[in-house]
Amino acid sequence: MTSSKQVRKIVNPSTKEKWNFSHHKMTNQLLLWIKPLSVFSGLGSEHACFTNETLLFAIVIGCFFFSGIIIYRVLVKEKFIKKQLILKEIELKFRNERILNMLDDKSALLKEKEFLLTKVHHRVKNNLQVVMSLYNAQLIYSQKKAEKNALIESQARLHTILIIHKKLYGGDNINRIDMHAFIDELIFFISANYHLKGFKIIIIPDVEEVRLDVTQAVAIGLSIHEVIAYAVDFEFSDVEKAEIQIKLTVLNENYLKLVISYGSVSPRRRSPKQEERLITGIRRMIGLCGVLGSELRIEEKNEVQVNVLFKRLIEDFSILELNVNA
Amino acid sequence: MHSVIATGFKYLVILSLVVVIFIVFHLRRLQSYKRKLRVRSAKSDLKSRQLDQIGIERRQVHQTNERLTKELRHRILRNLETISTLLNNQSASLDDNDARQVIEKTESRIKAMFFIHRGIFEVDGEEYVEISSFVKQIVPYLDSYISGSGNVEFVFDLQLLKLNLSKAEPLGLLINEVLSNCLKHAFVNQDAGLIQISLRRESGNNVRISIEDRGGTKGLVLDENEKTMGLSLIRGLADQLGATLSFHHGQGLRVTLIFEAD
Repeated sequence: MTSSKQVRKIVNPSTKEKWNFSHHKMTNQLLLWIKPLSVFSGLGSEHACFTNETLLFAIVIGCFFFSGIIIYRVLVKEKFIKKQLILKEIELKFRNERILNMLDDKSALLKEKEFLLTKVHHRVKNNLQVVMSLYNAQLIYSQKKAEKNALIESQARLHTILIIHKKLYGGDNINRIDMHAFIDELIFFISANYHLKGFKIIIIPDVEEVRLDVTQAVAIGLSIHEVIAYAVDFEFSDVEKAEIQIKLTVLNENYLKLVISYGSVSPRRRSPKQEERLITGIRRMIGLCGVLGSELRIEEKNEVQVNVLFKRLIEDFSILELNVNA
Repeated sequence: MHSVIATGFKYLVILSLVVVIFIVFHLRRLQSYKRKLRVRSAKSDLKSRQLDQIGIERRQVHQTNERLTKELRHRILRNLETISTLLNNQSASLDDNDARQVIEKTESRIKAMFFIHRGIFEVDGEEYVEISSFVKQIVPYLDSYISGSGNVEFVFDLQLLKLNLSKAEPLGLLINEVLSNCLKHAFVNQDAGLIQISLRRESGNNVRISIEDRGGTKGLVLDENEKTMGLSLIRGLADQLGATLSFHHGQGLRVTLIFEAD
């Protein structure tokens, strides 16, 4: 530390001398440069209009002027950038505000969506319940057995639709239904229904994990219901136990196959009327829901097999929009 | 002479130093401003991209909402349509006459609900149904489907009435029930008849609806103690509406309903 200070003390005077020296030298040099300039302004150094002082003064003024211009330009540029900065700041603020507004708007819309979803389910459920209660009231007032049977049959079909809407409620998609869960519940309902009547029915499902459009699910549920009702009415009328297999397979991207089969316990010929009831019954169920491109085939070997080949509805809202246009 | 030049030179140097310092200082400030500007414009760009993203998401949610509102209506309509088609199919395949009539009755009730739900329109988030147009829709349907009725003429005297859905639904069912009763029982063994339906707004919020069958040789005499589904349904629905229900036996049977709209 001390050594460096000493060094500085030693160095300082010498630099000052140097400065003085160079100062004089530079002044002389400057004069050498300026003197020829006076030639332009006068005829000779003796009769020159400008003295050295004036020239120097002019140069200083020139420098002032020149530096003034530079400073001005710098200031202008600075002002410009400052302005831009402020503009950007305003823009940023504006965008921030808009983002906040949009987010508010979006969250409000999301809330509305949530509300609408619950409203859809609530209203549909309410509506079906009103229909159900109409049925129940009618059941109380009906005395004849045929009336009651007709009502119960119809009510069971209605229940299929109810199950679907119950299943839809938990899901995230209000248009697609998981067939596996749906058919499980449907089977539970159907077999419970027959158990109540003292008829043992065993339904073995084999359903692939697939999500289908509500309309198609309704059609499939109703078809299953129809075939089982038919089987119990005609094929198993004199036995107390029946086994029915339900198989839903995805053939490819577009086509699905529903197979309902049961071993014919009492092999006997179906009357044409019964045959007609089965086929028209299923046809109606399928056609009811506007599922086009389906194919129905009934095979009979050791067992009765009802094959339904149908095209999968891919558009979520296709049927809906069709209805709107129609 | 030399000293003057020297002082001039000194001032010049000082001046140029000041200018240089000034310029350097300002250039550095300029630089920092530029840096800030760059940062800010980058931020601003990011925000604008965010804004676009949020805008797209918002639009999507908005579209789903629109679809949902459409879906709400159409799902109910589709369900009711499905149920009534099922009932229609069933009634065609039934042999028993009474059973078929029961199923047809149920179908007509569901059809009434269908017409009510089809007529829903929304005002400020509340759902309303126009009753007079509902009556005009349900009448031809009932006329065509109830067997046994001959050429029944209808006289409408309807004022426009906008009713909340919660009231319109029971009212629709009630009107359907009364009308189908009239059509079924008033003109038995007769070629022609006349049914007059009137809907009038009265003082205050009261609405009077009366349905009267006329022209029958002997109008329907309703036993009010009789226990039928139709009658008990009419009573129940009138209770639900908070309406006063009265039966008047004159030339025919006149059913009058007075209730408060909203």
